[in-house]
Amino acid sequence: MLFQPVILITDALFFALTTVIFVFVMIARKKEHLRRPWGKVIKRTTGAVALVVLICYYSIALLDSMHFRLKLENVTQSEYQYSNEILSVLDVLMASMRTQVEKTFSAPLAVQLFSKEMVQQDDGSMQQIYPRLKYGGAHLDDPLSEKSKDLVKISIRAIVMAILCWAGFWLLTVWRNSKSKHSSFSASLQRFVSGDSEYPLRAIAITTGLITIAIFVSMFVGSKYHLFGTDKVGQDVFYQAIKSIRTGILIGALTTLVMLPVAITLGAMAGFFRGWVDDVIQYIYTTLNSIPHVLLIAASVLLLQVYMSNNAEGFDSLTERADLRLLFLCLILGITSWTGLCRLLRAETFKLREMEYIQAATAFGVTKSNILARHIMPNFMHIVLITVVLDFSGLVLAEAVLSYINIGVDPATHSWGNMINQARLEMARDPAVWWSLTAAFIFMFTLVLFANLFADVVRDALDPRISGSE
Amino acid sequence: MSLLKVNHLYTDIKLSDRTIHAAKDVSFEVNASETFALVGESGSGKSITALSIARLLPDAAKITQGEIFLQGKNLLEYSERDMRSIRGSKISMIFQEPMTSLNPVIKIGDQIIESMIHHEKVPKAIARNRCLDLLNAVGLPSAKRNMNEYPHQLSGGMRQRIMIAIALAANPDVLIADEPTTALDVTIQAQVLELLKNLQEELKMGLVFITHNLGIVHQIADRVAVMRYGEIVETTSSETFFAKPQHAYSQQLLNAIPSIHKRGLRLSVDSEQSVESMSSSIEMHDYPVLNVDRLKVHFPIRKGVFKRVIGHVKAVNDVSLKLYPGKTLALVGESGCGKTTVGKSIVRLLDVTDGDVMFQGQNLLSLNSEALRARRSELQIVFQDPYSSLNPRMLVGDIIEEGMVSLGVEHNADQRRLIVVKLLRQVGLPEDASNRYPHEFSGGQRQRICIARALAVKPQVIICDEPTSALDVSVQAQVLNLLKDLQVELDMSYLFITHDMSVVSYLADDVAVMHQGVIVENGSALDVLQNPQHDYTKKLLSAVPKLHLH
Repeated sequence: MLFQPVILITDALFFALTTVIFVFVMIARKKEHLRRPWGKVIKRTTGAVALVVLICYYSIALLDSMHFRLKLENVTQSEYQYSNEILSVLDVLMASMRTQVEKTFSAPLAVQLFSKEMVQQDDGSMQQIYPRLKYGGAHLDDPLSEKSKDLVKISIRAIVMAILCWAGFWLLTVWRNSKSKHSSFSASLQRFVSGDSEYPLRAIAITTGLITIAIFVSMFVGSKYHLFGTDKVGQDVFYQAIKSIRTGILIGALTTLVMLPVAITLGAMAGFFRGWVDDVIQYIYTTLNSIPHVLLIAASVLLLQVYMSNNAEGFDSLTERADLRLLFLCLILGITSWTGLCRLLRAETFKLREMEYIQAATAFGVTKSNILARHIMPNFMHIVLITVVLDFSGLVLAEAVLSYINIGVDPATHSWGNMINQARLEMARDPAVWWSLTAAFIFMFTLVLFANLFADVVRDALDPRISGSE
Repeated sequence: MSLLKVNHLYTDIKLSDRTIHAAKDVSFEVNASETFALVGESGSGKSITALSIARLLPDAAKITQGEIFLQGKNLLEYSERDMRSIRGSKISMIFQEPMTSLNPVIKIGDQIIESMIHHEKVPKAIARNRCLDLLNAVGLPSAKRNMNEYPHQLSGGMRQRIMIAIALAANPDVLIADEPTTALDVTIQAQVLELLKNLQEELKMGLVFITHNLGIVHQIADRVAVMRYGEIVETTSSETFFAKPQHAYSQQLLNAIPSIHKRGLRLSVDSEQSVESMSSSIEMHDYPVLNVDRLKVHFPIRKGVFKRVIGHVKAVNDVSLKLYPGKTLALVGESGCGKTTVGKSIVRLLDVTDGDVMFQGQNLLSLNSEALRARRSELQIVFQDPYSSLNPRMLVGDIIEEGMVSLGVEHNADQRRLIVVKLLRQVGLPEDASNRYPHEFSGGQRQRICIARALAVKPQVIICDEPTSALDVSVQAQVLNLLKDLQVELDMSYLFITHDMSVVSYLADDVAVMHQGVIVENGSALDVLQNPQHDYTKKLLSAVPKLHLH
């Protein structure tokens, strides 16, 4: 074996979540009452475009979750020995960006370091100059005259290849469509171009086109230059920003996973049983709500740090330590964030339990647990979904805030919060180093923006009051 | 010249996937001091027509063609700004739901004065005096106090009076009343109708009265237009309409109304079906299948941190009922009299304070939950609102099956499927209904599903809690026919809870009249309806708009 797969705890959970989503999609396709609202989401242009972008982010996170250790090459014994460093598929795909580490700061697409250094010239004299980068634009002889031309050349090549791939894919799709609908290829193409289809295929095609171009350009340019420059220790900022996607998505998704069962069970129970059950659950969440969340999170993260430094031998690598901390952060964020949804569900259950179909079920002698599972839970699921999608973007932002005050993810984990935290010092320099912040901002902004757009469309589609009035 | 003239009006509602022609070629005229009734079942386009006249259509709806003349001027040519001054001052509207038409956080006096000050620019003091006069005119007992009260402090009937007062505040020429009494009890409905009639004569208004209730039309209208599917099928004077309806649909509507004269006959649902006599071969049994004895249901009023009980709402106070096998007992009363509470406490959906419910020699109230479950299959309930009584996330087949599963009526899944198919056929639904969701069905069909669900566990007694009050007359007729057929077929007994006297007179064998938690009169249907003893029964019966047809 050339490599040994490594499954971190968060990876396992992330795969489990992916499976759950996949199974849900499969079930939803068969059930009319689920297919209709979700079909509505995809039929809206905003919904379809946002979904494409989100899937793109999700795939990157998925690629980044497939971890392994490479076999060490210079070991000759029959027994296998693997490197201590845990890599992901994404790391391999972006190998050039990961390994091309400069000495220190360099601006985006620069060929020189950002600050002057004393360099020994060929004739032995020392001179204060901007030294050339080891990798960024290293293939150029005369960067001043050639750089822009070279960039344009690489970009055009990337764009042409991107368009070829993209056009090939979509022509194939249209062709398959025309076969399944028994219409001529040209007629199908005509309909596709004019945007005359049940689903906003044209908008999806344009979005995927733009994404493909972005990927190709960043891969092509990124292998020769540093797209977003380098940070203090010379690491590629673009690579960091891409690696942060997994952290962001994990925090959003796993936290939700932790908080959902608690919120749903307690909310439904409080609303359905009322009386002392309701009282106890209410007291729990009001108490939890009255503790400042940041304080609670800080305390638990510090507790974990102490634990980890006392049991250092329990962890094989830094990556595992960082992973545990990430998981723990998700847990504690989950514990502090279930109260809002719980409250909503309690109120909704109050309303539902007075519905006549619940009374009819009681008259049929249906047991209470069955009433909860069959009659109440399916009827507040739209609220759960809406809240989950809305909360997701909030959690991504929460990670950034927590990392900024140093109680977020491990400093070794790539995350937007950590990047912003570093940028605090970089912005204080003169001239300011702005690209870390900018890169983190652009990637986070895109994710949160599209998650919000998606949430909006989902809310419109799933809210029965809105769909009822149409 | 007529006061209001609608000429070939077309109104469309645009949905995301299709366009509904809500009003098609609607034409009619209304003269001063005339009451013009627009009749039709739900979805026939009568409300859209009214909203078109006042140009208050929702965004999705648009007038595509036609003219609306008010005193010779075409309203459709006015700008929105001009229209604002017309609404309220020339055309006023009263809506169906008095609960939601008033702003809950503004005092009643202020809400009335608002439109006066806006339209006529009168000083506030004068407006207050006029407001007081208006409230007196609409018959509020203590107008001065009511002015400083909030809507929730008043009853539904009083609120509808206030809506009328607001509509009249600026002396309109045309008053459009969109089902103004549908949400009200019969006795209050009678008061409101009389009030409207008097005010109209006094102020010489044109009154456009939209309703689905032909009894009201008979009582108040001068001329009638019948609408169906957005079109007016017949316009005629009220006398001609009731004596000799021309259009088949009008005849059908009239025949669908249950009444005492049609006892034992099928209500006609469509005009082709001949009216055939039903066999009523049920003999008298001596022992009641269900005997409710001195039932009391009190709801505690709790207050404070420790939820101390500080008093009781006596929703049901000492109610005794006897239901005989194969018979229908009607429990009649106005809203809030406790009749639904009786129904629900018999099947123990509510906790009973005191009393006995003897069902086949066993006291239901003393059973523990295990024993009660064994009995539940014999006693079922059908609810009022077919929209909220079916779980929207379950397939119809699963809904019908659920009771059989949980009560262990039939353990074999294949057998259950067969029973579901049989039941669907029995209540007149297609077999493929079992694989569809409730929202795909209309109100009447949903009520059939509810009935099929109740029948699935083979009950001997069904408590019907206003099963037809949410339905149109012709759909109501279908459901009543179905209930009657099933009763003959399966020898069941019904406890029929209703406020609708015409349904009672058509269906019931015995009647119990309930008022404020107490049974005031009890006896066979014919006796009670034709020779009421108690004052309240008399009042209730006289308040029902009369139709003398046959």
